[in-house]
Amino acid sequence: MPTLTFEQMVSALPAGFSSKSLLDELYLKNQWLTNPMLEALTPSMLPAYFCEVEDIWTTMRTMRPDQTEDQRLAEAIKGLQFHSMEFLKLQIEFAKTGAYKSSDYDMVFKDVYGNAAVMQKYLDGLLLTYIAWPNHYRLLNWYRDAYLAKAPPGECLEIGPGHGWLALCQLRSHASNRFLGLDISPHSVAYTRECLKAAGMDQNRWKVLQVDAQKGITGHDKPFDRVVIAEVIEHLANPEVIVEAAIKQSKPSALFFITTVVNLEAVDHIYLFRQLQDVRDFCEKRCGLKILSELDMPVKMNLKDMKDEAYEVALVCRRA
Amino acid sequence: MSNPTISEQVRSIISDVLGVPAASLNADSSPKTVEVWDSVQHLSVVMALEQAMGVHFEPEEIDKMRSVGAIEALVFEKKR
Repeated sequence: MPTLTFEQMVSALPAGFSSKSLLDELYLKNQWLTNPMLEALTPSMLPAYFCEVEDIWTTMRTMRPDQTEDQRLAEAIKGLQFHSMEFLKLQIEFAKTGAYKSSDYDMVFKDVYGNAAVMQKYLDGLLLTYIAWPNHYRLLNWYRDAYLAKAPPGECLEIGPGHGWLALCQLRSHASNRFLGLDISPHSVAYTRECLKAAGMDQNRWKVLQVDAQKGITGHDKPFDRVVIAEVIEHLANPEVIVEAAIKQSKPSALFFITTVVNLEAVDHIYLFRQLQDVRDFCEKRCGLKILSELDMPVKMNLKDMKDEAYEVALVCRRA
Repeated sequence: MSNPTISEQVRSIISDVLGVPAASLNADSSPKTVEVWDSVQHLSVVMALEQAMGVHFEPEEIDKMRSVGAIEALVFEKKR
């Protein structure tokens, strides 16, 4: 049962807030998707939440100057609906089968990463989950507090930046940060570039390239101080390849931010972690990292077929 | 507005998906009153209704399915 009502949320909006139309769409017209977020918010969280909403929505609007606000809103909400509904449908199926649907990376590339129409919805939807899904909102804040505030500034690598929001946070977190993003999807590369430009990031500080990091990490001239691999390892058949490659290209003092999921399906998930310990073993025993801090976020779903617990998990690691 | 057969079918489907007795459901039953009725269960209900009753719901309609009564009315309209 929500502790906060939408009316209470609206009454707390700051002067000059320009994203009310997005909040109306989220909380009045997509209640069944956003009730968990309303339940998770408390009055004391609202000022920071409104800043995040304004920041994301202003950037998303600026990315598409060819659209009116209403057009951009309709497109973005369709992306969130698509992303949310696909996620939920796949969990229902996963609960019955206990296995991820996709096992072929080339097929996933063809159906998802190389498909412009799918990727536009996918990335819009995924970006909006930072303000519409409580776990993702919590993850974003933890990223800032547990990682960005503590990692050494300098050369930043992100494998799979997707929508570019974590990259943007990276660049904003320290003026001396330089960023390299490598993504296999040309559409993610374009989206991340548009995001960083829309947010006004100096283009001398960042570079986003279409590179399959599984074949090697290229495009840089110095070892990395920060490495982000968020929501990537579960998409690969042999995820240790990219983690080990990133370790080789980083300084001994580098800090890693890795996120993944346990028992959660998505349209492009391939590698299944069945328990939290599997993720820890992957990082420490397979890849040679040392976990410094960990955020485990249970994902509770009332599915009678679901036998195992599901989690979203984030880790801050260093080289062992 | 209501059709006993459709109402019974809808309640039976919702009961089966949520794992609650059909007799415990009334027109006002909703995600706010039935504890297990979360967003993933809501979509399970939608998918089960689509399959069993041969209807399709758009995302905008899914959000309007806020109670058993609202669902029954929507399904009745689609089956007319």
